[in-house]
Amino acid sequence: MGKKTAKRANVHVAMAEERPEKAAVRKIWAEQVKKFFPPEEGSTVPLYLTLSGALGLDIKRLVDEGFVQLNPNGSIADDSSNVVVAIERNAHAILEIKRRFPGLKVRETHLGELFRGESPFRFPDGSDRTICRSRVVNLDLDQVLKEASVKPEFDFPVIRWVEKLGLLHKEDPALDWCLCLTLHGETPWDNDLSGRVLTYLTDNFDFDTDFEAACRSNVGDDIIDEIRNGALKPAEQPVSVQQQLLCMFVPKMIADRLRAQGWHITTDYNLAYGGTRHRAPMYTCVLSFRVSQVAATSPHENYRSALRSIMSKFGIIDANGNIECGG
Amino acid sequence: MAVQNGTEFEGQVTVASRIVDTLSSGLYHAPSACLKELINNSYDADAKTVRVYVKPDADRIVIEDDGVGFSRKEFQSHFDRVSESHKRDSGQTTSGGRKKIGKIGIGFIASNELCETLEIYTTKKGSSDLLCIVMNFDEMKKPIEQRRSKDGTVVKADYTGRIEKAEKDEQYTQLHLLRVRGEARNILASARSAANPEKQGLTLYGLLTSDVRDALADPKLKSWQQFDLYSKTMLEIALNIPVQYHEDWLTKKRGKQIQKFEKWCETTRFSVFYDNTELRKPVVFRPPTDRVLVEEFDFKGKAVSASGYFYVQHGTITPRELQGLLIRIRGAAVGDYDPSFLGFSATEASLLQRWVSCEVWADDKLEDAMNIDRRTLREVHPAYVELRSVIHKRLRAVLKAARSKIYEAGSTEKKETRTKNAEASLKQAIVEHVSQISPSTEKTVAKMWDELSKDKGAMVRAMKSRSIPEIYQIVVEVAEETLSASDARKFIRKLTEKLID
Repeated sequence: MGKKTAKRANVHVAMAEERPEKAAVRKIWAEQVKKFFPPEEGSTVPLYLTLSGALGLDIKRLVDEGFVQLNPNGSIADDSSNVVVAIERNAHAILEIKRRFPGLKVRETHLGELFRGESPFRFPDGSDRTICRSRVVNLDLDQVLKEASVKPEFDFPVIRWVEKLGLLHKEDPALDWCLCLTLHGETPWDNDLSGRVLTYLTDNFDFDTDFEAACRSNVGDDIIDEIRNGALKPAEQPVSVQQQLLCMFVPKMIADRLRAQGWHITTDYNLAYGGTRHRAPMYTCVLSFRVSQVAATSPHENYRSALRSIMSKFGIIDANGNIECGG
Repeated sequence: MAVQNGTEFEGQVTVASRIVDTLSSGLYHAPSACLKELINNSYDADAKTVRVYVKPDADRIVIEDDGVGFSRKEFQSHFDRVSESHKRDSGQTTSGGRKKIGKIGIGFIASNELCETLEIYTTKKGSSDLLCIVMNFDEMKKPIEQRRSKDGTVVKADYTGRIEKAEKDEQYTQLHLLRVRGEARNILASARSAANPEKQGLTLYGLLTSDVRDALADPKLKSWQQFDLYSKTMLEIALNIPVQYHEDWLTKKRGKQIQKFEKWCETTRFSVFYDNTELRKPVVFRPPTDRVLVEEFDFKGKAVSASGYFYVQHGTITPRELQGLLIRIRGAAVGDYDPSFLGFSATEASLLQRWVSCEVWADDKLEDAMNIDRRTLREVHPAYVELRSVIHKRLRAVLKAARSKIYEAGSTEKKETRTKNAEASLKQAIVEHVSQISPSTEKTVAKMWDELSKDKGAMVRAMKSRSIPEIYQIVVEVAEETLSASDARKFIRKLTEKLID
């Protein structure tokens, strides 16, 4: 009944998904859910919003760890029906998820549609608004960090979505939340974007010398010097350097964009993995956003604090799934 | 010419005339009726397994089967003019040997009652084409005048299709019902009680099949209305489609006919899973007493032949949805249980009629009498007339047997119980007062009582032949004759109090 097709079509996905590095990442995601478990009584806000894909291995992990309860027949228990919401658009993938987790809530849409695009003036409404306020939002994206258009300011759709997520979680009652973001660990940027990224990082090294020092100690003086003198060409760098660039740039960019929202932001994980002969280079980070009065009143200091946690959580996941990072 | 993958096509689903347009809309009284049509289509496609996904919110309902699937040509020849392409043109039976349930192929568009969009993904074994169709029922909202074409056909839906790649060794059909209509969605996914929408009903969601059986056998279950709408829908579907009986659905020893039905359901090997719970016929009998009668029958008439059983228990059958008579043709039910037994006299053993549940497996001749809604039969059709006559005759005999073997036997039992209770009460009254009476009187009474107790038959006869007031009078007289005046007064006062209590 199409299972074989789905199985074959998903062979590559399955192989990738079962890798130890990915298993380690899923463990990290489950840790984040644990922080918010059990859900508050009467809350309609899901614990976990995910782009699980057809296999739903991250959901399985939550089941295995007892965050999602199953009925005797293997379907999702009514009590857990609001714990996880999967985002999926593809009909075959939806069916595959339903086969694996009957009763799972699946929002059938593209991520862009869910967030109502990148416009800062359009926001999800109704039940979409509620699911966007999930305590853990897992954007496991099968894409590189790329801009939607060339503008004087950065125009990364994914960062725009995170800004929207921040604003939605800030709505009364404001909710602490966590972002898990995974991207391809490559930076195939053109010269223009590369130049702007280098300038941006340099400005931030100037703004916070501790941040620069942390970057130097983690990625080496040569790279930082090349960033400072504008000579680094990200697209031409070895994969490991491209991943390091993302580790410096992505959480920093998010902290920068969301600082005005008054969150106390910490980077809990900032990791590179893959990138060997048979494994695609990947980048993943976990950022926590806590409601903080101090953060709202001292945005400058708060931002510095956010920067400090970025490189202290920098690290890698090796081929056996071991995490090596600071902090 | 070989079909290229990615080939796109489009068209309109039309029905042959206005009357068919009308008939194919508003045909189904409940979402369950639409879903069972689609499931029965899977049966007709020789599917072994059907999986239905509804929860949590019925936003997208998926029905997938491992049946033979259909090609683009078959799709277009059927849907370009619904009702003219006869589902049985290729024969009465499927290639797998099943007798087809569907007749005119109208069941497929049952989905237009539930949703605005239907996606179909289907492929046939040996073909590398995966047919992907998106059918839109928005056309349905337009007045018929705008939907009628020059040749008189009426447009029911628009569709677009494309061919994708499929594995050659696969066969399946997936129906995805999208933009499910509001009330249908509420019913299909709802946890609301069917009887009281303000309350949460009992639910069968998430249960194993054996748990479903136990829930249905619970003596506290008086009606399916106690379940939520989701579960009620599930039961309505299960009642209709040709799935197996539950294990131990009948505690009584089965006869030849019942064994035949069970065997037929087993050998058909048609399994339906509803959100992972395997559906079985929701017919489970757990009588409150062991006074049960199962009468099987098998008759061959001129206009119709049928076999089946009458199940009778002492006491009203619960859940009440099983009271009456259910007709199956080709394994699929015609509507629900009919509590009137095809119009049997309501005044004839009316109490006992609620103690009876009957299933009739009729042959194909009755199919001709079936209306298009698959819920009712034409009452003037010869097959129906003959069946009704036979059923009424047999029911009359069953009710007679039930009266003598179950009801009256029950009455005798009840009387004996009453007698025993009365005896115990009297004995207790005497024991309680024995300390207050003189030893000689105690002896006399005890002796008299013991002698009377030894001859149970005499006691029963005495209790049978005399009314309670008479017995009371006799006891009073005996007390007056054997006790002192004060003891007799005490005894009579206490006895009277006890009896009034």
